[in-house]
Amino acid sequence: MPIFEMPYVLVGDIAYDPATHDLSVEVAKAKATGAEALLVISRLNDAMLLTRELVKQRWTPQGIMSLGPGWYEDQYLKTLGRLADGPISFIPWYDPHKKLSRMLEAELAKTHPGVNLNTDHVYTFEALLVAADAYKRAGSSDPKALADAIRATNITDNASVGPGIQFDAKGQNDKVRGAAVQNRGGKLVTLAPKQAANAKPEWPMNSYLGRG
Amino acid sequence: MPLSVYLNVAVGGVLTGLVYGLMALGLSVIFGVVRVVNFAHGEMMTVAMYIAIVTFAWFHLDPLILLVPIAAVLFVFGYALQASLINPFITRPEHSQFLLLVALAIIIANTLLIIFGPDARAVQTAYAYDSFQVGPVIVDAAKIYAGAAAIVVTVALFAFFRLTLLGKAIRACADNHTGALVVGLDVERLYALTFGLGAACVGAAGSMLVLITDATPMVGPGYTLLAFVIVITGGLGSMPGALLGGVLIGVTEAIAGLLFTPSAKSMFAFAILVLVLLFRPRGILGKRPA
Repeated sequence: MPIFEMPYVLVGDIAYDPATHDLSVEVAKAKATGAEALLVISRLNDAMLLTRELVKQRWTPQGIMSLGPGWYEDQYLKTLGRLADGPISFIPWYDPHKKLSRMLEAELAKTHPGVNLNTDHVYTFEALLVAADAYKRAGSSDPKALADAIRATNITDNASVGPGIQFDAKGQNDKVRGAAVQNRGGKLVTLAPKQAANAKPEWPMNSYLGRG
Repeated sequence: MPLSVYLNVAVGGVLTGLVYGLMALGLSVIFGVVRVVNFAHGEMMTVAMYIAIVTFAWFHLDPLILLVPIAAVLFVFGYALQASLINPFITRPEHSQFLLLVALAIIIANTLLIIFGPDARAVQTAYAYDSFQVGPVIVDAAKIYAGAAAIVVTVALFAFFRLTLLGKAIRACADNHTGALVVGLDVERLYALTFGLGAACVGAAGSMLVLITDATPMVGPGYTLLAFVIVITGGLGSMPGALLGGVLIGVTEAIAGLLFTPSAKSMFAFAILVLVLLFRPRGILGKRPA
């Protein structure tokens, strides 16, 4: 692993039980460190608990950066409303500028209004895309021919962030890239990488006080 | 770390502990009189939490207003349960009672799972995100309301047992079962009433707890275990002991989470339980057996 000389100091590291029902102590402890930003790894329920506690304890860090699920999920946005705005999630995502992404967004809006397109939808779609592409190139349903065709996959017209879909010797799609997305007004905007970005980061995030 | 952080956390621990105490009070009342350990205690509280959530969603009624109706519903449920299902098991071996109540707990939890699904649900009251600032201390408004309601319910229960004839009759059953039968008390009915009262306590605690935390169908066993820890620490069968145990466990978990790692805060609650079992097996306020 390369060691990066990052100009940041980790002032605290707080572990908690993911099944907990109360995160007031954890937030009080984090607040007391005087940290400028929160780097979180959580799931949906604890993401909501953490947000509620941040509001109740009147602490808005400059930013909340998530390396896991929870903070960008529809249930989080729906439940917390305006309080959901601000967190940035670093996750696999779709490139909103790609043609297929726009088509998927339009179809989802038509069939499931109010549901945000996310990685689960896009990866499911791309899995089907890979299967259909492999079947087309193999020209038969013979398992060996299909497996060989999947190994030779080279799709450039896809939806997720990155140059396309190709599998390495271990079967991993090494073309996929991570992204940064931020919650804004019940929607998700892409901040990075540059070619997929459709918004600038909102930093520092707006104070929770007065959001109502 | 500034003193204000300790104060904030300690006050939060006391308020949460009061609600835990009320929940455990139900268990203590039932055991103190009926001598049955309610292993479905947490699940009954989960039912109360879901009643509060559904009623809030449909009618926008505040869980604090719903406290009395929900306690009444749970009272009827507890009364009917004792009269129909548990009374025949009173004289049976303890493992039979255990299996009966664990089966009931599993049925309740899975019924909730079928109806509501596994996702967490909460009520979004107007004050859900409010907090009060007193000097350097910021206190969660919902916890204050829930803690105050827990004190009121507990005082009412104390008054019932101390001042009413029915309460005295129930205490007589607890003190001397044979004596109560000799003087003509309807012990089976009093047992059912007691189980109803214990269930009402847990109903009130559930409608308050939903202000503080989310509900999922599977939270029950955790609360049952917590109630056991509290009543054993405070003194099995002792009403003030249950409240004291609740506050003690609430504060211990909160301060331990602050001083050490929050992921290990439950460990300290169990450490207190072990110490109590070692040095005062009857609990802090438990009576020595006659």
